[in-house]
Amino acid sequence: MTIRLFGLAVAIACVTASPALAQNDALRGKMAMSVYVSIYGDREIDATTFRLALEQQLHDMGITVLPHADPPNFPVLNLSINVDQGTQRTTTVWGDGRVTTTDLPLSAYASRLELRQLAPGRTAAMRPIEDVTVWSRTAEPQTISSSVAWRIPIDAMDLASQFVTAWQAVNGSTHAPTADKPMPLPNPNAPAPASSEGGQSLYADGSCPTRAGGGCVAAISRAVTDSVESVPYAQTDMVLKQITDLQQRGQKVISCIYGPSNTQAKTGYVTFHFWYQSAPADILKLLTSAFPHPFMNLGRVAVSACPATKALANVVSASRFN
Amino acid sequence: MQRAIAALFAFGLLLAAPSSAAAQVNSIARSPYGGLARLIVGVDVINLQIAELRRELSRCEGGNRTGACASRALLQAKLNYLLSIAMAYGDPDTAGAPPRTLTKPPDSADYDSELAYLNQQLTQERSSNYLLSENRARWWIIQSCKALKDLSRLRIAFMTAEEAKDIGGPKTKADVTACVAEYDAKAVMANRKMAMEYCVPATTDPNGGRRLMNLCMHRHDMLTALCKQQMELDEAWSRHKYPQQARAAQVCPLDRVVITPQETEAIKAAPPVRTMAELPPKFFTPPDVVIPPKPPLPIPAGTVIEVRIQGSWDGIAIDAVANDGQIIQSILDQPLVIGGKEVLARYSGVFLKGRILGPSDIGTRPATVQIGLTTDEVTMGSTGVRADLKSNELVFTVPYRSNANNPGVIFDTRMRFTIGGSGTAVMPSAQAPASPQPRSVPSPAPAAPPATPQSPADEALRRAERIQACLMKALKDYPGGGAAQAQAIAACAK
Repeated sequence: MTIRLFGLAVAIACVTASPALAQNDALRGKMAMSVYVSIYGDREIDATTFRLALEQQLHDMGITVLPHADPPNFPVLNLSINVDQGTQRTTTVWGDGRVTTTDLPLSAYASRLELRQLAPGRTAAMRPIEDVTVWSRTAEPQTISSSVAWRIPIDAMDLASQFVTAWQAVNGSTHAPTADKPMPLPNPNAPAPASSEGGQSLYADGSCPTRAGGGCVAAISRAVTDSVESVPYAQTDMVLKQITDLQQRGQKVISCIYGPSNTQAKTGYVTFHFWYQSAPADILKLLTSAFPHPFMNLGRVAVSACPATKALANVVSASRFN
Repeated sequence: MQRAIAALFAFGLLLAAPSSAAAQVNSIARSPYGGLARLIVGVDVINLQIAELRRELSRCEGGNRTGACASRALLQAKLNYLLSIAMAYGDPDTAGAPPRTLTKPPDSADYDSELAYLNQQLTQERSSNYLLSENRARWWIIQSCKALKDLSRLRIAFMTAEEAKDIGGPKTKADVTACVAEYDAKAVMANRKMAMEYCVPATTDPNGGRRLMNLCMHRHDMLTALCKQQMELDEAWSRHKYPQQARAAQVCPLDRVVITPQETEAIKAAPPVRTMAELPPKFFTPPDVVIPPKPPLPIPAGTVIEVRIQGSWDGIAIDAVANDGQIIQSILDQPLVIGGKEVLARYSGVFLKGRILGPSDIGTRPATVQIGLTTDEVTMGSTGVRADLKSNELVFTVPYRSNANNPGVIFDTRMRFTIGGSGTAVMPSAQAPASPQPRSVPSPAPAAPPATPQSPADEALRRAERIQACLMKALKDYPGGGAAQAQAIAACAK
C-alpha cells in the first residue's frame, strides 16, 4: 500500500514538474543575453540598481552580458514588476454607537521574469519573425499592506534566483565568470540633439588646476560623486575605501560645466561629471556593492573629452549604464 | 456579535500599522524615496532578513558557488536593498552588525569628524526646529560656519584662480574653527526657543495665517541670521563676477524654521515673549566682497525723475524689502532726455529701495510706520543690464498692515525723486491721496518730455489711472466697507 502511494506521488510529481523541466531545457546553451528591468507603478524601486545586480549575477554564472544596443536576435532577460496602489476602507460600528472608518493602504503587485528571443514566425507570410518567451517565471499576484511593500523587490529577486537554478541545471555551474566589458567611449563631437535651451556650450572654469578636453580633470574624490552620506552606515567605510583605492590607482574624473542658461543674468550653470578616459575595470562590482552607491552619478561610461554641448552631455549621462 | 467582530478586525488593522507614531514620522522624514515614503512595519522583520542574508553571504566567502551561493550577486542586492530600507527607517545599523559608535573627537578643530559624529547622533533624535537639541544646535553652528568661511562651493562659478588660491587650506580651517568657537550650543538653543516664542505670535494673523516669519527670525534668531548671511555672501560673490545682474532676494529656506502644529500649540502655551532685542550687529554685517560699480549714467545731480510705483506697499511689505532683498518696482513716467539725448526710455524699470524708519519693533504691532523710499537701479534698454540710479529719500507714513481704509502706498502712485540728492522729502500720510506729491521737490525740473504718439501702452496707463481713481472714490464713499463698497469696487473693474 505504502509503495503504491509512493509511486502515485512520484508520478504526480513528474507530471507536475515536466513542463518546467522542458522549459528549463530552453535555457541550454544560452550563454549571452542582455538584461532589462521594468518597474511600473512604483517610483521607489530603482530599476537600474536591480538591473546591475542581475548583470553581475549573470557574469558570475559565466554568461556574457550584452549591451542594450546589440542586435535584437540575442536573448533578452526581462524582469518586470507591476505595482498598483489602493486603499481598503473598513467601517467599524462600536458598542456605544460610534462609527469609525479606517483606510488601509494596499499594494497589489505581480512580478515576471522571462527570457525572450526572436524566432521564426509560425506564419511566414504575415509574421516572419516573432518575439517569443523561451523561459519565464511569474510570481503569483499579491495584495499586501503598503506597510510591507518593501518586500516587492525581494520577491522579484527570488524569481531571479529561480532563473539561476534553472540555468545551472541545464548548463552546469562550473563556467568561468565573464568579464564586464567597458562601455565604448562616446563621440564628444556627435551631433547634438535638438534643444530649445540657450547657453548650452561649455564654460571654462578659471579656477581649475588641470584643464583638458574642455573640462576640469581631477582625481576621483567625494566632491564629484553622489553623497556618501546616503550609503547605509554599515557600508560607508567600504565605500570610502573604494574611493581612496581608486585615487591611488590614478582614477580620474572630468567635470564639464555648461552654461549660463540665462545668458542675460549669467546664471544657470550645470556641471556633469564623467569618468575620464576609462571607467574603473571593476565598475560593475563597485556599483553593486552598496545601494545607493555614490558612483551612480558617474555610471559606467567614460569620456575622453567633455561632450560639446549640454544637450549632448545629457544624452551621455542618461545612457551611462547602457 | 457582528460589532464585536468588526471591532476585532479594526484592532487587527491597528496592530498591522506601524508600532509607534514617532517612528512613523521619523521614517517619512528621512526616507529618500520622496512623497510615497513607505510605512514600514517592524524594522525587526527587516533586521531578521538582513541577519539571515549576512549569514548566507558569509558562507559564500572563499569562492563557494554552491547552493544559495550560486546567486551570490542577488543575495548581495537583497542585502543592499534592505540596508537602505533600514537606513530610511532611521535604524543606524541592523542585525548582525552592532552600530558603529562614533565618539566625539577630542580636538575641537576637527569639525568634519564632529559633523560625522553629530550626523550619527541626530539619526537617533527626533527633529524639532523649536526646541533644538544640543547636538542639532552644534550641527547647525558647524554647518553655518563652514558655509560662511569655507567658500569651496563658490570657486568654480564665481572666482578667479587667484581669488580661490587659499580656499580649502589651513587658513580656511582656522577661520571655520574660530567661527565655531564663537557660538555656544546652549546659547543657540535658548535663543531659538525665545525667537520662536517671540516671532510666531508676532507674525501670526488673527485668522491663523503667518506672514514673514522668516523676516522676524532673520533679526532675532542666530541660526537664521547666519543662514541669511551665508546666502548674502553667495549672492555677493555672484554679483562680484556679474556686477550688472539684478540683486536676487535672499530668504533663508523655510525648512529651517518650519514648525509642526504641535510645536505651534506648545509655543502658544509658553509664557508670552512681548519684546526681544535684535541680534548684535555682527549678524547683519554685509559680506566682505567687492562688487564692481555699475556703469555710470550721464545724469546730472539734481535731475528730477517721475516714476509710477508698481504694487502696493505697507509696513510689512517694506520690512520684507529692507530685510529680504525683495525689490520695489516702478516705471519711468516719461523718457529722460539730457542735452537732447534720450538717456532712459519711457517705461524703463526703476528699482527702489525701501526701509522702515520707525518704529521698527514689530512685536509691538505698531498701527503706522514711517517708510523711506529711494531709487536704486534702473534697467537700461531690453538687455536687463542695470545701472545705478541713486536719489534722495521720500518719506511716507503708512499702516504697518494695510487694510481697505488705509492701503498704504498704492499701485501707480507717482513719485518724484531727485537724482544724486541726499536729503529727504517728507510726504503726507499715504492714507488718502492717489498720487501723493512731495512737499518740496528740488529743482531743476525734469526734462520736458517729447510728444509721444498714441500707443496701446498709453491707453493701458490711462485705463489704470481711471480704475485707480474709481477705487479710491469707492473706498472714500464707503469707508465702512460692506456690500456697498464691494459693489462700488466691482463697478470699477467694468
